[in-house]
Amino acid sequence: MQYMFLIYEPEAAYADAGEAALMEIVGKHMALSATMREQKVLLGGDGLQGVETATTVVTGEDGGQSLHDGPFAETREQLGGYYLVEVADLDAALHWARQVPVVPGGKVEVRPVMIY
Amino acid sequence: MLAEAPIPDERLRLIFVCCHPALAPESRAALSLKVVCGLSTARLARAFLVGEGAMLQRITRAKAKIAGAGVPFEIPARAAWPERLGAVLATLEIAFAQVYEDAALAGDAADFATEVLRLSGLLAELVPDDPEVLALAALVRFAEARRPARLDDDGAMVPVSDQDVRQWDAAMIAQGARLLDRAAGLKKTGPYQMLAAIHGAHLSRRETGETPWAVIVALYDGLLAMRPGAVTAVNRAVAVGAAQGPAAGLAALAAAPADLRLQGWLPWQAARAWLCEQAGDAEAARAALDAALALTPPPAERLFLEGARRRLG
Repeated sequence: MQYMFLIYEPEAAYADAGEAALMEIVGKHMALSATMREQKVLLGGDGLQGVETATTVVTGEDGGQSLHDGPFAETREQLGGYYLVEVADLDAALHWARQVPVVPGGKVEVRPVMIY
Repeated sequence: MLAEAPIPDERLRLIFVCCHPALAPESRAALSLKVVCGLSTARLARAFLVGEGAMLQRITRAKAKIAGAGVPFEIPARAAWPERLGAVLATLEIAFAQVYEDAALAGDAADFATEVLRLSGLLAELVPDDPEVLALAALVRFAEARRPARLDDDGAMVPVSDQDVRQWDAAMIAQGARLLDRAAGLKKTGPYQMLAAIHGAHLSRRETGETPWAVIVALYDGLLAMRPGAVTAVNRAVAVGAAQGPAAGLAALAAAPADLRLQGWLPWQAARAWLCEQAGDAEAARAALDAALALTPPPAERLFLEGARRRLG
């Protein structure tokens, strides 16, 4: 099955963390990606730029569209990156999801992907 | 013990599978009771004190999650046991409650009695360093040891404090006491240890000839602090009634969580009937007994309630 790991973290944590802490997390992501690639479970994944760069396309009830500056919801934690993996089952997915590096308070949502 | 020792029992294995931490906590025990023990949705709703619609939704949602999210139906590795243990214990506790509330074992859960004894014992062997696992095994033994004394010659239920102690199973009580001693030795208290201690306090009447009601109230206070719940509050009210008199018991019953569902819950009506009778309020006692009898109690409980009803005229 394919699963997407959606990484939610308080954005402020990175702003406050400083360069060294940031590089440590990036290093952990690279190491995890390498391991997942070796084990042939990784299909894709990337970090996203900050929510200050986000633009949301909103479709109204009448079908009309408008643009909104920012993420669709102003929450404390924001979607900051994702992994796409292919593994046997949820336990295997959770095994990898637990290894995704996040700052304290970070969350990794594991979602099975619909295959059409 | 081997790090990867498998769970040597098909039913216990399935319970561990159903208690997957990816399922909602309130669904795990319900699902495993449904799948492994075959309890009906209606019965589960009663056991968990929720409506049937809500229970059906819990089960449906859990099954949909298993299918949709790819939850494996496999034996979890030993490292995954601790995070499932709470729901596994809850499953055994509720299965046990089903047989405990049926003194004559006349209902459709009758075969659970030996099964819960067996499974709780097996779990205590598999996880010997968890005090709550040991305490649940002790609790089940303490309660089942009294099984032969729970019916009178007419087949009516006999309340624990009126039972003939000579009919209690001394060997099983000793087994339970050893388990509870080991649990206490691990120096980490918990709700199953409190529950086992409450049963143990009732059993102490074998030696002393008296039920230590004040101790039992104190144990219920401790249990309520750890795990608040309507069932515990009602049982505590009965103990308060016995220790401090019916007025105090009725006050405790009134202070129990104001959950309307309790009115349609047999133990609540039975507790109220007994407390009202002790207080000399025959009319209220009769009303509570009629309400209890209308809730289709198991045969032994029905005979007991009918006896009380006749006594009140």
